[in-house]
Amino acid sequence: MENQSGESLATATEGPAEGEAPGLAGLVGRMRLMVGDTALGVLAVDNGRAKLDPDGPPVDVTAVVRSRDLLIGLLRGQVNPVLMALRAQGRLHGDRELGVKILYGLRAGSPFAQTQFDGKDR
Amino acid sequence: MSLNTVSILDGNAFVVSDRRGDIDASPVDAQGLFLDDTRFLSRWILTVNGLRPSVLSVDEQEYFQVQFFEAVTTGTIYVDSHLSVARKRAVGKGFHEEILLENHDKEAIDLDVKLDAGCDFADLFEVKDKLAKAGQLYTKTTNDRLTLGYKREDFVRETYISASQKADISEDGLHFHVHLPPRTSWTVSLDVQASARATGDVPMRSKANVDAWVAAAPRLVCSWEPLQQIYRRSLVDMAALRFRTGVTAGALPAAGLPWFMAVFGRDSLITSFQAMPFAPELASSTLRTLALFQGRVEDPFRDEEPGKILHELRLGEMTAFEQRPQSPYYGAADSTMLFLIVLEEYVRWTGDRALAKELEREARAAVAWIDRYGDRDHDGFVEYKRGNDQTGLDNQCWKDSWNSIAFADGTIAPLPRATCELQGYVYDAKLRTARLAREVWNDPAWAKELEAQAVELKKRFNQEFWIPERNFFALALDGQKRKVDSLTSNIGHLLWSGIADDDKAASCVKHLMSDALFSGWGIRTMASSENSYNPIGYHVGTVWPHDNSFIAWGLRQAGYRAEAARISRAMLEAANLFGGRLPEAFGGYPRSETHYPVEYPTACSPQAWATGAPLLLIRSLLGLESDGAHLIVDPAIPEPLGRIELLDIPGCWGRMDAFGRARAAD
Repeated sequence: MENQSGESLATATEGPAEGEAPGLAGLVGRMRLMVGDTALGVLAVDNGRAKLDPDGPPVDVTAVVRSRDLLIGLLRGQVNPVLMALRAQGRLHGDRELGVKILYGLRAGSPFAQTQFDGKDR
Repeated sequence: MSLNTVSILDGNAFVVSDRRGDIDASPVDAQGLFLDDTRFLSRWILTVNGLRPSVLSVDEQEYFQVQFFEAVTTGTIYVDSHLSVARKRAVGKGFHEEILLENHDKEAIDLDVKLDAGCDFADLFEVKDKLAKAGQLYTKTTNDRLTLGYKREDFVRETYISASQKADISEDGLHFHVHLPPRTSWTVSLDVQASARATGDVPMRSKANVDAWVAAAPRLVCSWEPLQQIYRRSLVDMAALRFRTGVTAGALPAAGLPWFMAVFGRDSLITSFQAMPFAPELASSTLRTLALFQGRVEDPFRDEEPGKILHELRLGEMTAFEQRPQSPYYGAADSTMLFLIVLEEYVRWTGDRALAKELEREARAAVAWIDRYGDRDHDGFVEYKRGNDQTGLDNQCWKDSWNSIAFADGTIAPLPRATCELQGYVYDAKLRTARLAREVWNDPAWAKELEAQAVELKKRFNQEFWIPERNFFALALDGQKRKVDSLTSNIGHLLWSGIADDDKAASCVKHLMSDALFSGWGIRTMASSENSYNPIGYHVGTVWPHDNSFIAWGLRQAGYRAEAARISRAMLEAANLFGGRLPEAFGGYPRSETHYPVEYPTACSPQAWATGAPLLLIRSLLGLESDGAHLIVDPAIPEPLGRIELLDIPGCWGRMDAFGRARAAD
């Protein structure tokens, strides 16, 4: 059963909620994370570092996905963004180029790869 | 494409019908409305009182629009030609069709007008390989709309059909009851819309858009009239093949109709290079898009490796469910080097250093891929072997058919294969990247290192690929480091890259212009002297226009002006005989035996790098080059091409003109 909690991902973590992400080098921007209509935080990217914020200033791009587990998979760099789009499991609004760069960049090494979300291992 | 089909396209949406305008897909006839690599309509048949009208003519007005003129000419109710039918169709996100029925008789008539509709929602791979579906088909009808649908888990695709006139709508299609008084007409507009696209592509269809695209390109004035037509055809086809991903700004060239209306690394890069003096913005969009999807991880299923540039991106069901690896697939050993080559060419041509700065990380990652992953066994040469044994590509060079890399006796070379042109591309890519490192990225130390690597590669290549007993470079080194000794067009690419020593280049030029390789229409992919040669073998004897355009360009760069001119002239004469549009490939039969180049049966047309071939040939004839600040013009034009003027060539100089005329020496 997928977790459909509305708790912010930034507060539902055990382990790092920020860290180095080599694939995000050169990128700066903020991505709102949503499951359906529910906002679950913001991924703040700053030139090789990524941080989960509960919320904050305006974002450049919004990722809307079907489930919380899928979102966690994206943050861990385990989900192929192209497959996600083809199967209508998620979409990007706003600066989609930045969004794809961030999601692809996380695949090259995510600071959340070992993070426990909602008390669950990866 | 079959001569009995009519195709219109816009980006990766296209409609293939018969000459009546009907769509009746079958295992042997890949007709339909296609979008995002999925068939959204496989049956679309018009009948009038149970009869299918006979075609009178087909007016292919624009690449995205066609009109069919027909008449209901048989049966017992009507006298010949008293009822005419016109069908006007334009493709976009689906298609729009207007049907006009005209009663030319003195009597009123009652008509049952029916459009049978259906869809199999085949993935393009299923169409090509004739595979069965895994999900469920369904239909829904309302008073004003027929929905054809397909569902497999969360993968849903639908087609919506509606009409401007009242119709009886059933699961099989739309039925109109029409009363036509004498000398009157009846019209219905039909909309066939495909469900939302995964990529968010924006259709670009409009005559104004095409006109603007053509007007923005340099103007060609020439004394050999066919060249004017060939040039315009190339520009219009290039407009048709532009493809927007919906993620990056701008459009890049898709590879070709019908099977390759998708992002392809190699094809988009080669076409962008060919089009550089004419539409450099294609290169910018291509580089940005390919950079976005640059490999990040090691993934054998997709042949993905960090820094590698993709081969192919598909959007259909089989890709979505990982039955095929194109999400994206990275099985191309040359696209990463071509990425670096096109980046430097673009910056030198346009002066757009900002793009080079933007893509510095990607360029460094590409170079790292060459050294770490491209050179799999660290012998100094790039070689390939697929990681995906089921659905990956065996050959990851541009000659990607299974039998293209063979010894002279016909034996297929064992993997991994290090083809010769790959080494040339590495050499060129490293020198060009060195230039960017020094001039844009302010990293002279890395530039020096890259140049030293290129020098070493050239030295080793000339030693280890050269076949002294045959006086040309080996097609490849095979998995056991044996020289694959077939004589092929690949050696022409070594001139373009500059990796061949001068004396060895001279010997290769003799081979290229020999009867064994030069058919009179162009350089064959494989020489007629080799055991695998087949004049209609996909990569083992046919003539490929894009291949020839790069060989001509390489000959020009190596100082072989007359030879370049000869190939350019032959290729343009062939283009003229193909109605101005060069196909992907054509038969390798000697010109002495055929007054016309022989068509290759399944060639894509239009195909992007064939469309780009005349552009690079024109560049070659005029000797156009950029030194980063000025346009260099050094014409070598043969009779009867006479005089060529290319006006308003865009580049870092703004807009400049180039003139050239034939001289006896050329």
